[in-house]
Amino acid sequence: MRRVVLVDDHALFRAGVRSELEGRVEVIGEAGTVGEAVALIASAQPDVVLLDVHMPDGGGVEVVRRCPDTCFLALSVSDAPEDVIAIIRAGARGYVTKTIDAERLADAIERVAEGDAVFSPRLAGFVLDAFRGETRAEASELDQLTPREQEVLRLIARGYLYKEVAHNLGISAKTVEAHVASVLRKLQLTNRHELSRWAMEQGLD
Amino acid sequence: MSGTMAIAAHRIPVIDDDRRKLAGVCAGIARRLGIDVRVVRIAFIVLTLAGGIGVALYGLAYLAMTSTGALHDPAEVLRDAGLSWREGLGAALVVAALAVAVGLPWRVVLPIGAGAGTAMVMWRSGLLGTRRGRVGASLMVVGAVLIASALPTLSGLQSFAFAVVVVLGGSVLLFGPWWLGMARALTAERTARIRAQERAEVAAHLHDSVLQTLALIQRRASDPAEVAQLARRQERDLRAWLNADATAAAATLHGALVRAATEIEEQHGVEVEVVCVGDRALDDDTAALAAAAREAIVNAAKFAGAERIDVYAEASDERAEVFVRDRGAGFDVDAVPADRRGVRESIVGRMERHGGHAHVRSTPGEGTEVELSL
Repeated sequence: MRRVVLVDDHALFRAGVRSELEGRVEVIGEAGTVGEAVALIASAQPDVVLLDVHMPDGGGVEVVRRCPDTCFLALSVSDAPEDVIAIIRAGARGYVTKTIDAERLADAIERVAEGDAVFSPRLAGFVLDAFRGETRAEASELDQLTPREQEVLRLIARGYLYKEVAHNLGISAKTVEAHVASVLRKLQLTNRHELSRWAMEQGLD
Repeated sequence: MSGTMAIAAHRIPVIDDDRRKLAGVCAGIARRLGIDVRVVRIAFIVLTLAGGIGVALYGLAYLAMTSTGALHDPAEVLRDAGLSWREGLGAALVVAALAVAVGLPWRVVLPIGAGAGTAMVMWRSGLLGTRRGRVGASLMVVGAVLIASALPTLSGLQSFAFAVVVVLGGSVLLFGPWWLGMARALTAERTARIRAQERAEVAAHLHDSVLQTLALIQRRASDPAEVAQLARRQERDLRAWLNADATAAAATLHGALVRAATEIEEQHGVEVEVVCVGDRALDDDTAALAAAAREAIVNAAKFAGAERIDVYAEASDERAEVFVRDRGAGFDVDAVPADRRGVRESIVGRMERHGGHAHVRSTPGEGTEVELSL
């Protein structure tokens, strides 16, 4: 089972997630502040950290920054693109909303632990939106999505699971994962105006 | 006000009267920055040697910095001056009379009298307690003398202007700190007031919405489905409010879909997630598209038995597409009788009348997806 650390400033929410995930993953620790989280992650070396975006003292973004080489799955009540994009750009491997059910959450944890990216339909929508519109001819490869990547994201935004995306496009699930990983990389590295603006509104970049 | 001044004093260096060489500017800056006063002094000296800019900076800093001494409120000072105008006039007359008595000409008597009167007023108004006050008051007296000597002739416009500048300098010295403090206090006050208003607004909203819902949830604790629905509805409502979400109110395809989703969530107790890329204003065609999508969501909510419905829309000026997907029961599309109005009329027919298409894909046991395009 995957060894998971929960980071959220609401103890009640941590307790809820812990009980939901019982038997699906092994929760090896909980932290309620940025400082606690950094210390715990350093000592416990979890496979995946479930991370709340909104916390005092810099929030989830600060934890991601201070713990490189850790696998983060962001968990938030926020639907605001600034929040979602900010945590992804800081280095989280995926983003899901807090209303996600236990099975999907466990699946997402497994996925990021294996090195894949986890995109909720909403995140896929944000990304498509951000990469829309005119791109200058000299724009780097990082600043635009390939047609295939767009197709993959569009299907994820429509609520398709990775294997359904693969089936629909007639490609393998591994290829879908590769496309999503590539989108994640672009998302983190691109200078596209919308994305840097969203990140900047959160005091990043 | 005293609290505000304390805050302002934290940000802006305070004139240091104890360690001053000149006016205490360097010492004040050094204390504020926590560095050696000599460093600051050397910096000012270097800047002064470099074209004299140091002097100008020193003067500006002196005017901007708050003195540890008392701040003079012009209104109070004027009132005090008003109370002491008789003394001022008295002093002016006595000195002028003396000047006349010793045989001085009028053009000298007038300035001497004005200076004496101003000096008396300055002294009576208690401005001489600080070095700053004394300098300012001296400038006022000099200014009064200069104005009085320029007045009778009205010839020396230049000397008159110079006198005015001197008086202005005196006023700035006397009242500058008070004025700055007042401006800072006003800003702080306005900020505080805005904050209080926002707080009241938040409190009112939470009271009407979240607290009501929490009360309802406590009373319906025995019905998990309803509790979940109440919580979900409240969440959506609060989120819209927090984000000042104009989306739901907008006359666009996105807005229409969000409104439909909210309504159906409330009626059927399912979760409807709307993701929209791009957007387009509502016209006859897009309104029909939204209505058809709404019908598809209702069908999914009623018949699929899924907990969650994904709605994805993509719109630009040329194209608009909506996908409604559930992971519910699904059905055999070919087996649906041709006369079943729901899908035929309100979805397929409606789209075709507006030059669009509707396509339904469904597999029993795996769910349904309705694709609508314009």
